[in-house]
Amino acid sequence: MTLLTRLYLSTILANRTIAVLAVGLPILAYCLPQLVPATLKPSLIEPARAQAGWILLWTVCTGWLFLSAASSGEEWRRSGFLVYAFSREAARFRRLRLIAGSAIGFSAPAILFVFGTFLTSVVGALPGDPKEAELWIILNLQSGVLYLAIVIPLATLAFSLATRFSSTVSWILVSCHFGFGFFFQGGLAPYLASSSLPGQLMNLLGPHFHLADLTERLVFKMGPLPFSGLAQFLGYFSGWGLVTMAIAILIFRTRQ
Amino acid sequence: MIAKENSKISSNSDSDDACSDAFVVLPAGFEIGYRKAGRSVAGTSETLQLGAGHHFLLAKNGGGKTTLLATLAGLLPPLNLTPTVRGALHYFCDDLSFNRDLCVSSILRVFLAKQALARAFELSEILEIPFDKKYGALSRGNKQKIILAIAETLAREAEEGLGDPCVLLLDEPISGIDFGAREIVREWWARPTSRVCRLVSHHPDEPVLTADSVVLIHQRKIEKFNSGTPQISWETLRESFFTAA
Repeated sequence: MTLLTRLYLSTILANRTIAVLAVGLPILAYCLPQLVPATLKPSLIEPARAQAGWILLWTVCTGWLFLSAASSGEEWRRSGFLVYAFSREAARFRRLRLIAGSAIGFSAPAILFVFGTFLTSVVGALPGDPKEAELWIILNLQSGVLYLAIVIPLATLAFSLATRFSSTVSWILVSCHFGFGFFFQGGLAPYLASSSLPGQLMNLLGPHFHLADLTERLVFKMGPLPFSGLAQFLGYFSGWGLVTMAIAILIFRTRQ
Repeated sequence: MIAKENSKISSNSDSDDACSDAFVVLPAGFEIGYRKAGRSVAGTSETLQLGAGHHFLLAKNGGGKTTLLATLAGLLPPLNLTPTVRGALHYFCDDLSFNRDLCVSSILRVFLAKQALARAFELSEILEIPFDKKYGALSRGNKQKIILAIAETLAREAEEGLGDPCVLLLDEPISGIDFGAREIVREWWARPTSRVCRLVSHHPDEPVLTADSVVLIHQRKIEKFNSGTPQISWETLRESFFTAA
Protein backbone atom coordinates (compact mmCIF):
# COMPACT_ATOMS: atom_id res chain seq x y z
CA MET A 1 0.00 0.00 0.00
CA THR A 2 1.21 3.50 -0.73
CA LEU A 3 1.49 6.28 1.82
CA LEU A 4 -1.62 8.01 0.53
CA THR A 5 -3.62 4.78 0.62
CA ARG A 6 -2.54 4.06 4.19
CA LEU A 7 -3.27 7.57 5.43
CA TYR A 8 -6.67 7.70 3.71
CA LEU A 9 -7.75 4.37 5.15
CA SER A 10 -6.48 5.31 8.63
CA THR A 11 -8.35 8.61 8.47
CA ILE A 12 -11.71 7.22 7.37
CA LEU A 13 -11.48 4.46 9.97
CA ALA A 14 -10.63 7.02 12.65
CA ASN A 15 -13.62 9.25 12.01
CA ARG A 16 -16.00 6.28 11.88
CA THR A 17 -18.42 7.70 9.28
CA ILE A 18 -17.63 4.79 7.01
CA ALA A 19 -18.73 2.33 9.71
CA VAL A 20 -22.05 4.16 10.07
CA LEU A 21 -22.58 4.08 6.29
CA ALA A 22 -21.42 0.50 5.79
CA VAL A 23 -23.71 -0.82 8.52
CA GLY A 24 -26.52 1.72 8.45
CA LEU A 25 -27.31 1.88 4.75
CA PRO A 26 -27.87 -1.85 4.17
CA ILE A 27 -30.16 -1.87 7.21
CA LEU A 28 -31.95 1.19 5.90
CA ALA A 29 -32.31 -0.37 2.46
CA TYR A 30 -33.74 -3.50 4.03
CA CYS A 31 -36.23 -1.64 6.21
CA LEU A 32 -37.31 1.32 4.06
CA PRO A 33 -39.67 -0.68 1.80
CA GLN A 34 -41.61 -1.74 4.92
CA LEU A 35 -42.57 1.88 5.55
CA VAL A 36 -44.54 2.26 2.30
CA PRO A 37 -48.01 0.63 2.06
CA ALA A 38 -46.45 -2.62 0.91
CA THR A 39 -49.30 -4.70 2.24
CA LEU A 40 -51.15 -3.78 -0.95
CA LYS A 41 -48.73 -5.95 -2.91
CA PRO A 42 -46.24 -7.82 -0.68
CA SER A 43 -44.41 -9.30 -3.67
CA LEU A 44 -43.03 -5.83 -4.44
CA ILE A 45 -41.14 -5.58 -1.15
CA GLU A 46 -38.20 -7.71 -2.25
CA PRO A 47 -37.40 -5.84 -5.50
CA ALA A 48 -37.98 -2.60 -3.60
CA ARG A 49 -35.19 -3.59 -1.18
CA ALA A 50 -32.78 -4.05 -4.06
CA GLN A 51 -33.91 -0.76 -5.56
CA ALA A 52 -33.49 1.09 -2.25
CA GLY A 53 -30.03 -0.44 -1.74
CA TRP A 54 -28.71 0.59 -5.14
CA ILE A 55 -30.30 4.04 -5.01
CA LEU A 56 -28.71 4.68 -1.61
CA LEU A 57 -25.38 3.49 -3.02
CA TRP A 58 -25.57 5.78 -6.06
CA THR A 59 -26.62 8.81 -4.01
CA VAL A 60 -25.50 8.72 -0.37
CA CYS A 61 -22.36 6.59 -0.70
CA THR A 62 -21.23 8.38 -3.84
CA GLY A 63 -21.79 11.77 -2.25
CA TRP A 64 -19.84 10.74 0.84
CA LEU A 65 -17.02 9.25 -1.21
CA PHE A 66 -16.60 12.45 -3.25
CA LEU A 67 -16.73 14.53 -0.07
CA SER A 68 -14.23 12.32 1.69
CA ALA A 69 -11.85 12.39 -1.29
CA ALA A 70 -12.14 16.17 -1.62
CA SER A 71 -11.60 16.69 2.12
CA SER A 72 -8.49 14.52 2.01
CA GLY A 73 -7.10 16.47 -0.93
CA GLU A 74 -7.53 19.82 0.79
CA GLU A 75 -6.37 18.61 4.20
CA TRP A 76 -3.24 16.88 2.89
CA ARG A 77 -2.31 19.88 0.79
CA ARG A 78 -2.64 22.19 3.80
CA SER A 79 -0.94 19.79 6.22
CA GLY A 80 2.15 19.25 4.09
CA PHE A 81 1.57 15.52 3.83
CA LEU A 82 1.48 15.69 0.03
CA VAL A 83 4.88 17.37 0.16
CA TYR A 84 6.27 14.41 2.11
CA ALA A 85 4.57 11.86 -0.15
CA PHE A 86 5.88 13.68 -3.24
CA SER A 87 9.43 13.64 -1.86
CA ARG A 88 9.20 9.88 -1.29
CA GLU A 89 8.45 9.07 -4.92
CA ALA A 90 11.13 8.59 -7.55
CA ALA A 91 11.38 11.49 -9.96
CA ARG A 92 9.69 9.81 -12.92
CA PHE A 93 5.88 9.64 -12.95
CA ARG A 94 5.59 11.05 -9.42
CA ARG A 95 2.18 12.56 -10.00
CA LEU A 96 0.90 9.44 -11.70
CA ARG A 97 1.99 7.27 -8.79
CA LEU A 98 0.50 9.58 -6.18
CA ILE A 99 -2.81 9.77 -8.03
CA ALA A 100 -2.83 5.99 -8.47
CA GLY A 101 -2.14 5.58 -4.74
CA SER A 102 -5.04 7.84 -3.84
CA ALA A 103 -7.33 5.98 -6.29
CA ILE A 104 -6.49 2.69 -4.57
CA GLY A 105 -7.45 4.30 -1.26
CA PHE A 106 -10.82 5.52 -2.59
CA SER A 107 -11.56 2.14 -4.12
CA ALA A 108 -11.51 0.47 -0.68
CA PRO A 109 -14.64 2.17 0.75
CA ALA A 110 -16.31 2.01 -2.67
CA ILE A 111 -15.82 -1.77 -2.76
CA LEU A 112 -17.08 -2.02 0.82
CA PHE A 113 -20.25 -0.11 -0.07
CA VAL A 114 -20.82 -2.25 -3.16
CA PHE A 115 -20.34 -5.38 -1.08
CA GLY A 116 -22.87 -4.12 1.50
CA THR A 117 -25.39 -3.30 -1.22
CA PHE A 118 -24.80 -6.64 -2.92
CA LEU A 119 -25.45 -8.44 0.36
CA THR A 120 -28.62 -6.44 0.96
CA SER A 121 -29.87 -7.23 -2.50
CA VAL A 122 -29.01 -10.92 -2.29
CA VAL A 123 -30.13 -11.50 1.29
CA GLY A 124 -33.21 -9.31 1.06
CA ALA A 125 -34.46 -10.05 -2.43
CA LEU A 126 -32.96 -13.26 -3.86
CA PRO A 127 -35.53 -15.05 -6.08
CA GLY A 128 -36.56 -18.54 -4.96
CA ASP A 129 -35.98 -20.15 -8.34
CA PRO A 130 -32.30 -21.27 -8.60
CA LYS A 131 -31.95 -20.18 -12.24
CA GLU A 132 -33.42 -16.76 -11.47
CA ALA A 133 -31.25 -16.52 -8.36
CA GLU A 134 -28.12 -17.07 -10.42
CA LEU A 135 -29.15 -14.38 -12.91
CA TRP A 136 -29.99 -12.09 -9.98
CA ILE A 137 -26.50 -12.49 -8.52
CA ILE A 138 -24.84 -11.88 -11.89
CA LEU A 139 -26.90 -8.72 -12.42
CA ASN A 140 -25.95 -7.40 -8.99
CA LEU A 141 -22.29 -8.09 -9.66
CA GLN A 142 -22.55 -6.26 -12.99
CA SER A 143 -24.10 -3.28 -11.21
CA GLY A 144 -21.24 -3.27 -8.71
CA VAL A 145 -18.54 -3.40 -11.37
CA LEU A 146 -20.11 -0.55 -13.35
CA TYR A 147 -20.48 1.50 -10.17
CA LEU A 148 -16.78 1.12 -9.35
CA ALA A 149 -15.77 1.96 -12.94
CA ILE A 150 -17.56 5.31 -12.68
CA VAL A 151 -17.06 6.33 -9.09
CA ILE A 152 -13.35 5.65 -8.44
CA PRO A 153 -12.00 7.96 -11.20
CA LEU A 154 -14.48 10.67 -10.16
CA ALA A 155 -13.41 10.41 -6.50
CA THR A 156 -9.80 10.75 -7.64
CA LEU A 157 -10.77 13.83 -9.63
CA ALA A 158 -12.46 15.28 -6.52
CA PHE A 159 -9.26 14.66 -4.56
CA SER A 160 -7.09 16.26 -7.21
CA LEU A 161 -9.34 19.31 -7.67
CA ALA A 162 -9.26 19.89 -3.91
CA THR A 163 -5.47 20.05 -3.92
CA ARG A 164 -5.76 23.07 -6.22
CA PHE A 165 -9.00 24.71 -5.11
CA SER A 166 -11.03 23.92 -1.98
CA SER A 167 -12.88 20.79 -0.96
CA THR A 168 -16.25 22.55 -1.32
CA VAL A 169 -15.58 23.71 -4.87
CA SER A 170 -14.21 20.31 -5.76
CA TRP A 171 -17.14 18.42 -4.29
CA ILE A 172 -19.70 20.66 -6.03
CA LEU A 173 -17.97 20.39 -9.42
CA VAL A 174 -17.59 16.62 -9.33
CA SER A 175 -21.07 16.05 -7.91
CA CYS A 176 -22.62 18.25 -10.61
CA HIS A 177 -20.67 16.40 -13.29
CA PHE A 178 -21.77 13.05 -11.88
CA GLY A 179 -25.36 14.21 -11.31
CA PHE A 180 -25.65 15.54 -14.85
CA GLY A 181 -24.39 12.29 -16.33
CA PHE A 182 -26.43 10.09 -14.02
CA PHE A 183 -29.75 11.90 -13.69
CA PHE A 184 -30.10 14.24 -16.67
CA GLN A 185 -28.03 13.04 -19.59
CA GLY A 186 -30.25 9.99 -20.13
CA GLY A 187 -33.47 11.97 -20.05
CA LEU A 188 -32.10 14.71 -22.28
CA ALA A 189 -30.54 12.35 -24.82
CA PRO A 190 -33.58 12.09 -27.16
CA TYR A 191 -34.01 15.88 -27.25
CA LEU A 192 -30.32 16.61 -27.63
CA ALA A 193 -29.88 14.03 -30.39
CA SER A 194 -32.50 15.73 -32.54
CA SER A 195 -31.50 19.30 -31.69
CA SER A 196 -28.89 21.68 -33.08
CA LEU A 197 -25.17 20.94 -33.38
CA PRO A 198 -24.23 22.06 -29.81
CA GLY A 199 -26.96 19.81 -28.41
CA GLN A 200 -25.83 16.88 -30.51
CA LEU A 201 -22.25 17.46 -29.38
CA MET A 202 -23.36 17.56 -25.76
CA ASN A 203 -25.18 14.29 -26.27
CA LEU A 204 -22.14 12.76 -27.93
CA LEU A 205 -19.48 14.03 -25.54
CA GLY A 206 -21.47 14.17 -22.30
CA PRO A 207 -21.01 11.55 -19.62
CA HIS A 208 -23.71 8.89 -19.99
CA PHE A 209 -23.33 7.58 -16.45
CA HIS A 210 -27.02 6.62 -16.40
CA LEU A 211 -26.09 3.60 -18.50
CA ALA A 212 -24.50 2.06 -15.41
CA ASP A 213 -27.74 2.23 -13.45
CA LEU A 214 -29.20 -1.27 -13.75
CA THR A 215 -31.87 -0.69 -11.09
CA GLU A 216 -34.70 -1.09 -13.61
CA ARG A 217 -33.34 -4.46 -14.61
CA LEU A 218 -33.33 -5.45 -10.95
CA VAL A 219 -36.82 -4.17 -10.20
CA PHE A 220 -38.44 -5.73 -13.26
CA LYS A 221 -36.22 -8.85 -13.13
CA MET A 222 -34.99 -8.37 -16.68
CA GLY A 223 -31.86 -10.44 -16.11
CA PRO A 224 -28.22 -9.45 -16.51
CA LEU A 225 -26.70 -7.52 -19.39
CA PRO A 226 -25.41 -9.68 -22.22
CA PHE A 227 -21.62 -9.98 -22.22
CA SER A 228 -21.21 -7.80 -25.32
CA GLY A 229 -23.35 -5.05 -23.77
CA LEU A 230 -21.41 -5.18 -20.50
CA ALA A 231 -18.10 -5.05 -22.39
CA GLN A 232 -19.30 -2.01 -24.34
CA PHE A 233 -20.36 -0.21 -21.18
CA LEU A 234 -17.12 -1.08 -19.42
CA GLY A 235 -15.12 0.13 -22.44
CA TYR A 236 -17.07 3.38 -22.48
CA PHE A 237 -16.65 3.99 -18.75
CA SER A 238 -12.98 2.99 -18.86
CA GLY A 239 -12.46 5.64 -21.53
CA TRP A 240 -14.18 8.20 -19.31
CA GLY A 241 -12.11 6.96 -16.40
CA LEU A 242 -8.85 7.41 -18.29
CA VAL A 243 -9.79 10.94 -19.34
CA THR A 244 -10.82 11.75 -15.76
CA MET A 245 -7.60 10.34 -14.30
CA ALA A 246 -5.51 12.26 -16.86
CA ILE A 247 -7.24 15.49 -15.83
CA ALA A 248 -6.66 14.58 -12.17
CA ILE A 249 -2.93 14.10 -12.79
CA LEU A 250 -2.68 17.45 -14.58
CA ILE A 251 -4.59 19.34 -11.90
CA PHE A 252 -2.89 17.72 -8.89
CA ARG A 253 -0.48 19.82 -6.86
CA THR A 254 1.22 19.43 -3.53
CA ARG A 255 1.06 23.03 -2.32
CA GLN A 256 -1.30 25.92 -2.97
CA MET B 1 36.92 26.17 15.16
CA ILE B 2 35.04 26.38 11.94
CA ALA B 3 36.73 26.27 8.61
CA LYS B 4 35.06 27.24 5.41
CA GLU B 5 35.17 24.22 3.16
CA ASN B 6 38.06 24.36 0.73
CA SER B 7 36.66 22.37 -2.07
CA LYS B 8 39.12 21.02 -4.59
CA ILE B 9 36.33 20.36 -7.04
CA SER B 10 35.79 23.02 -9.59
CA SER B 11 33.47 21.53 -12.16
CA ASN B 12 30.55 19.11 -12.24
CA SER B 13 32.33 16.59 -14.44
CA ASP B 14 35.28 16.38 -12.09
CA SER B 15 33.07 16.02 -9.09
CA ASP B 16 31.60 12.62 -9.85
CA ASP B 17 34.37 10.47 -8.36
CA ALA B 18 35.17 12.76 -5.47
CA CYS B 19 31.49 12.97 -4.56
CA SER B 20 30.88 9.23 -4.55
CA ASP B 21 30.53 9.15 -0.75
CA ALA B 22 28.39 12.24 -0.63
CA PHE B 23 24.66 11.90 -0.06
CA VAL B 24 23.91 15.41 -1.29
CA VAL B 25 25.92 17.32 -3.86
CA LEU B 26 25.19 20.90 -4.83
CA PRO B 27 27.27 21.69 -7.91
CA ALA B 28 29.17 24.95 -8.30
CA GLY B 29 26.91 27.62 -9.74
CA PHE B 30 23.76 25.85 -8.54
CA GLU B 31 20.92 28.28 -7.84
CA ILE B 32 17.68 27.95 -5.92
CA GLY B 33 14.65 30.12 -6.46
CA TYR B 34 11.36 30.33 -8.26
CA ARG B 35 11.47 29.61 -11.96
CA LYS B 36 8.02 31.00 -12.77
CA ALA B 37 8.79 34.30 -11.07
CA GLY B 38 12.31 34.23 -12.49
CA ARG B 39 13.66 34.94 -9.00
CA SER B 40 16.91 33.51 -7.71
CA VAL B 41 17.11 33.26 -3.92
CA ALA B 42 20.66 31.99 -3.43
CA GLY B 43 23.38 29.99 -5.12
CA THR B 44 26.67 28.18 -4.63
CA SER B 45 30.02 29.42 -5.87
CA GLU B 46 31.72 26.05 -5.39
CA THR B 47 30.59 22.45 -5.15
CA LEU B 48 29.15 21.53 -1.74
CA GLN B 49 28.99 17.97 -0.55
CA LEU B 50 27.13 16.59 2.41
CA GLY B 51 28.18 13.15 3.52
CA ALA B 52 26.77 10.89 6.18
CA GLY B 53 26.17 12.74 9.42
CA HIS B 54 24.32 15.68 10.75
CA HIS B 55 24.27 19.05 8.98
CA PHE B 56 22.59 22.23 10.05
CA LEU B 57 20.99 24.57 7.57
CA LEU B 58 20.92 28.14 8.82
CA ALA B 59 19.59 31.33 7.33
CA LYS B 60 17.55 34.33 8.29
CA ASN B 61 13.79 34.31 7.85
CA GLY B 62 13.03 34.17 4.14
CA GLY B 63 16.69 33.46 3.48
CA GLY B 64 16.03 30.32 1.46
CA LYS B 65 16.13 27.41 3.93
CA THR B 66 12.79 25.96 2.88
CA THR B 67 13.49 26.79 -0.77
CA LEU B 68 16.70 24.78 -0.66
CA LEU B 69 15.04 21.83 1.09
CA ALA B 70 12.10 21.89 -1.33
CA THR B 71 14.50 21.99 -4.28
CA LEU B 72 16.42 18.99 -2.94
CA ALA B 73 13.12 17.17 -2.43
CA GLY B 74 12.13 17.80 -6.05
CA LEU B 75 9.22 20.05 -5.19
CA LEU B 76 10.79 23.09 -6.79
CA PRO B 77 12.69 22.83 -10.04
CA PRO B 78 16.30 24.08 -9.75
CA LEU B 79 16.92 27.25 -11.72
CA ASN B 80 19.94 25.91 -13.60
CA LEU B 81 21.94 22.89 -12.40
CA THR B 82 20.47 19.78 -10.83
CA PRO B 83 21.54 18.74 -7.31
CA THR B 84 22.38 15.11 -6.63
CA VAL B 85 20.66 13.27 -3.79
CA ARG B 86 21.68 9.67 -3.11
CA GLY B 87 19.57 7.52 -0.83
CA ALA B 88 15.94 7.31 0.19
CA LEU B 89 14.78 10.89 0.57
CA HIS B 90 12.35 11.99 3.29
CA TYR B 91 11.34 15.63 3.45
CA PHE B 92 9.47 16.67 6.59
CA CYS B 93 8.25 20.21 6.05
CA ASP B 94 7.84 22.55 9.01
CA ASP B 95 4.04 22.43 9.11
CA LEU B 96 3.49 18.71 8.55
CA SER B 97 0.33 17.73 10.41
CA PHE B 98 -2.43 15.12 10.36
CA ASN B 99 -6.15 14.62 10.77
CA ARG B 100 -7.19 15.47 14.32
CA ASP B 101 -9.03 12.15 14.75
CA LEU B 102 -5.92 10.04 14.16
CA CYS B 103 -4.13 8.50 17.10
CA VAL B 104 -0.34 8.47 17.42
CA SER B 105 0.03 4.78 16.62
CA SER B 106 -1.99 5.17 13.39
CA ILE B 107 0.31 7.97 12.27
CA LEU B 108 3.39 5.85 12.95
CA ARG B 109 1.83 2.97 11.00
CA VAL B 110 1.26 5.23 7.99
CA PHE B 111 4.93 6.21 7.81
CA LEU B 112 6.77 3.11 8.93
CA ALA B 113 7.03 -0.51 7.95
CA LYS B 114 5.73 -3.13 10.40
CA GLN B 115 9.20 -4.21 11.54
CA ALA B 116 10.10 -0.62 12.46
CA LEU B 117 7.06 0.03 14.62
CA ALA B 118 8.44 -1.42 17.85
CA ARG B 119 11.41 0.94 17.64
CA ALA B 120 9.14 3.88 16.80
CA PHE B 121 6.97 3.18 19.85
CA GLU B 122 10.10 2.94 22.00
CA LEU B 123 11.45 6.27 20.73
CA SER B 124 8.03 7.87 21.16
CA GLU B 125 7.97 6.77 24.78
CA ILE B 126 11.42 8.26 25.34
CA LEU B 127 10.08 11.55 24.00
CA GLU B 128 7.03 11.19 26.27
CA ILE B 129 4.46 11.42 23.49
CA PRO B 130 1.03 10.75 25.03
CA PHE B 131 -0.32 7.71 23.17
CA ASP B 132 -3.77 7.90 24.71
CA LYS B 133 -4.62 11.19 23.02
CA LYS B 134 -5.79 11.86 19.51
CA TYR B 135 -3.64 14.04 17.28
CA GLY B 136 -6.02 17.00 17.57
CA ALA B 137 -5.66 16.99 21.35
CA LEU B 138 -1.85 17.08 21.34
CA SER B 139 0.13 20.22 22.02
CA ARG B 140 2.27 21.74 19.26
CA GLY B 141 5.42 20.37 20.86
CA ASN B 142 4.04 16.83 21.08
CA LYS B 143 2.92 16.99 17.46
CA GLN B 144 6.46 17.95 16.53
CA LYS B 145 7.84 15.06 18.58
CA ILE B 146 5.91 12.57 16.44
CA ILE B 147 7.79 13.81 13.36
CA LEU B 148 11.09 13.53 15.24
CA ALA B 149 10.28 9.97 16.35
CA ILE B 150 9.43 8.96 12.78
CA ALA B 151 12.59 10.55 11.38
CA GLU B 152 14.78 8.95 14.04
CA THR B 153 13.22 5.53 13.45
CA LEU B 154 13.93 5.83 9.73
CA ALA B 155 17.51 6.86 10.50
CA ARG B 156 18.15 3.95 12.87
CA GLU B 157 16.59 1.44 10.50
CA ALA B 158 18.89 2.73 7.77
CA GLU B 159 21.90 2.74 10.07
CA GLU B 160 21.38 -0.89 11.01
CA GLY B 161 20.95 -1.92 7.38
CA LEU B 162 17.25 -2.65 7.82
CA GLY B 163 16.37 0.14 5.42
CA ASP B 164 18.03 1.96 2.54
CA PRO B 165 20.60 4.66 3.30
CA CYS B 166 18.57 7.79 3.69
CA VAL B 167 18.65 11.54 3.37
CA LEU B 168 16.44 13.25 5.95
CA LEU B 169 15.48 16.83 5.23
CA LEU B 170 13.94 18.34 8.35
CA ASP B 171 12.55 21.84 8.35
CA GLU B 172 12.71 23.42 11.80
CA PRO B 173 11.89 20.18 13.62
CA ILE B 174 12.74 21.24 17.17
CA SER B 175 10.85 24.51 17.27
CA GLY B 176 8.18 24.19 19.93
CA ILE B 177 9.50 21.16 21.78
CA ASP B 178 10.51 21.31 25.42
CA PHE B 179 14.06 21.52 26.73
CA GLY B 180 14.26 17.88 27.85
CA ALA B 181 13.17 16.57 24.48
CA ARG B 182 15.64 18.89 22.75
CA GLU B 183 18.45 17.35 24.75
CA ILE B 184 17.32 13.84 23.85
CA VAL B 185 17.08 14.73 20.16
CA ARG B 186 20.47 16.41 20.28
CA GLU B 187 21.95 13.18 21.65
CA TRP B 188 20.25 11.16 18.93
CA TRP B 189 21.66 13.42 16.26
CA ALA B 190 25.15 13.25 17.74
CA ARG B 191 25.35 9.46 17.22
CA PRO B 192 27.90 8.52 14.59
CA THR B 193 26.41 7.33 11.33
CA SER B 194 27.58 6.12 7.95
CA ARG B 195 24.25 5.55 6.20
CA VAL B 196 22.21 8.61 7.15
CA CYS B 197 22.53 12.23 6.06
CA ARG B 198 20.45 14.71 8.03
CA LEU B 199 20.05 18.25 6.81
CA VAL B 200 18.17 20.14 9.49
CA SER B 201 17.08 23.73 9.18
CA HIS B 202 16.96 26.03 12.18
CA HIS B 203 16.41 29.59 13.10
CA PRO B 204 19.83 30.90 14.07
CA ASP B 205 18.78 31.32 17.69
CA GLU B 206 20.07 28.01 19.00
CA PRO B 207 22.68 28.76 21.70
CA VAL B 208 24.79 25.70 20.95
CA LEU B 209 24.78 23.59 17.84
CA THR B 210 26.30 20.16 17.45
CA ALA B 211 26.79 19.11 13.88
CA ASP B 212 29.26 17.77 11.36
CA SER B 213 28.85 20.87 9.26
CA VAL B 214 26.74 23.93 8.80
CA VAL B 215 25.23 25.04 5.53
CA LEU B 216 24.68 28.75 5.75
CA ILE B 217 22.62 30.83 3.36
CA HIS B 218 23.61 34.44 3.68
CA GLN B 219 23.59 37.34 1.24
CA ARG B 220 22.29 35.01 -1.49
CA LYS B 221 25.22 32.62 -1.08
CA ILE B 222 25.03 28.99 -0.02
CA GLU B 223 28.21 28.03 1.80
CA LYS B 224 29.30 25.14 3.93
CA PHE B 225 31.33 25.29 7.12
CA ASN B 226 32.94 22.16 8.49
CA SER B 227 33.16 21.88 12.22
CA GLY B 228 36.64 21.57 13.66
CA THR B 229 35.16 20.89 17.07
CA PRO B 230 31.88 19.20 17.86
CA GLN B 231 30.47 22.37 19.38
CA ILE B 232 29.60 25.20 17.08
CA SER B 233 28.25 28.37 18.56
CA TRP B 234 26.18 30.59 16.39
CA GLU B 235 28.22 33.62 17.42
CA THR B 236 31.42 31.94 16.28
CA LEU B 237 29.79 30.81 13.11
CA ARG B 238 28.58 34.29 12.35
CA GLU B 239 32.00 35.77 13.00
CA SER B 240 33.61 33.15 10.80
CA PHE B 241 31.11 33.74 8.06
CA PHE B 242 31.63 37.48 8.00
CA THR B 243 35.38 36.98 8.04
CA ALA B 244 35.14 34.54 5.16
CA ALA B 245 32.79 36.79 3.27
